[in-house]
Amino acid sequence: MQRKIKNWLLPAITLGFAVLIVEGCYYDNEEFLYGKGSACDTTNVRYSQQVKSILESNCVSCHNINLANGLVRLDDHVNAKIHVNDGSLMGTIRHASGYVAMPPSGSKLSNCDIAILQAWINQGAPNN
Amino acid sequence: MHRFFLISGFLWLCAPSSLRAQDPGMAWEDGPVFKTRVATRLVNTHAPVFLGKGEFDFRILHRFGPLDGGTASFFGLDQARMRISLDYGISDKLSIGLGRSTYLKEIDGFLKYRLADEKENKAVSVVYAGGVYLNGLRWADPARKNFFSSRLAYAHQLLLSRTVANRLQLQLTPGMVHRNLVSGPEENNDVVFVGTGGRYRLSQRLTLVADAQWKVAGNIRDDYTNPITAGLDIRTGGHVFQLHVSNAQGMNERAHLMDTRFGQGWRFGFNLSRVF
Repeated sequence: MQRKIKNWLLPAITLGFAVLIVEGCYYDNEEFLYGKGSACDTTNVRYSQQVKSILESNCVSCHNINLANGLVRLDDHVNAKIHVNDGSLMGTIRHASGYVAMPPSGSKLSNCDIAILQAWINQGAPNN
Repeated sequence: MHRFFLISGFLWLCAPSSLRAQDPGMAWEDGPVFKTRVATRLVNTHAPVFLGKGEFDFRILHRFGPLDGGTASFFGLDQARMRISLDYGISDKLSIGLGRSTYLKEIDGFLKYRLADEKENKAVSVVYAGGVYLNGLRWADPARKNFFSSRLAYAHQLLLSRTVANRLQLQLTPGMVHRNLVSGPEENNDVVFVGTGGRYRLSQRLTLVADAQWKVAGNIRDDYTNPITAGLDIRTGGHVFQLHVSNAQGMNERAHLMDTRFGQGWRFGFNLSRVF
């Protein structure tokens, strides 16, 4: 058994490292590669059109009526507005100090999604 | 037949150690106590402990939510990040492993090699540990041209350790992390760390562990803070449980070194290690 493992293990390790070495080290940064920011449409933002869909894609899988992780629900307007009003929605998605960074998978919402949510909050977070 | 193997395998995993006198994972040798039969990591940082030749180590790690969440989030236990890994000892000087974390959906591989050993009358044991980390999240902006290399990061560490009176092991861990892609020019691709840590054996089954890293060169993000962890190892039947409190949520070198943030609170976590 051990002999068999040895037979494929060493070539596999060598191949793996070869791939990684070929892929190599880069010294990239996003500003240099992609510029400081791209166009983002924050006019006519509506809860039903953009906001609900952003929350459903990024938040509602944990913050729904069944799981309510952290006692937070974002699956309807009434509950979402509670966390708009106390500042925790924007604090967590902006990864602001003092807030638990969300989503917990480590990904951050795109700058455009955050800007859309902010534009909606600036209108008073209406249910429109 | 399959069911028989499944059930017997499960019973074997659960059986007390007295039923498995021949279990190589159970030997408590009179020799250096931190050589084998303790977890191969302090908590987050590699330790100069190697698997035996041909041994596998299956590890399940959890990091919970902030302790200050109170009873509403059951002191953080409502939320968990996980890492599952399988390590393999090619020889008693060389180990490799693969793991996968829920955080960043990151797949990581490591290689650890003992360069010098205390028993050969060297003052310290010297071990090299290197890792590669692959971010598995979907691209944040699929419309732009994304590069596979942007998903990759690397870590290199030297583990310098010394055992004192066969009860205390101290470790110094200089190392660096390289990220292929950072967010802007205010961050550095290469970041240098120095870590300290150690174990103190309280009894045959209990060991105190501590593990901390300090960033010494390179910029990460504004709200970065150094990861600090303290815990207790409990060696049971065929497992080592590591219970600990930490301000870090990452469970591989890149994640716990680079992504520990100020103001995210202290968290409970545990590592479970099973050698077979």
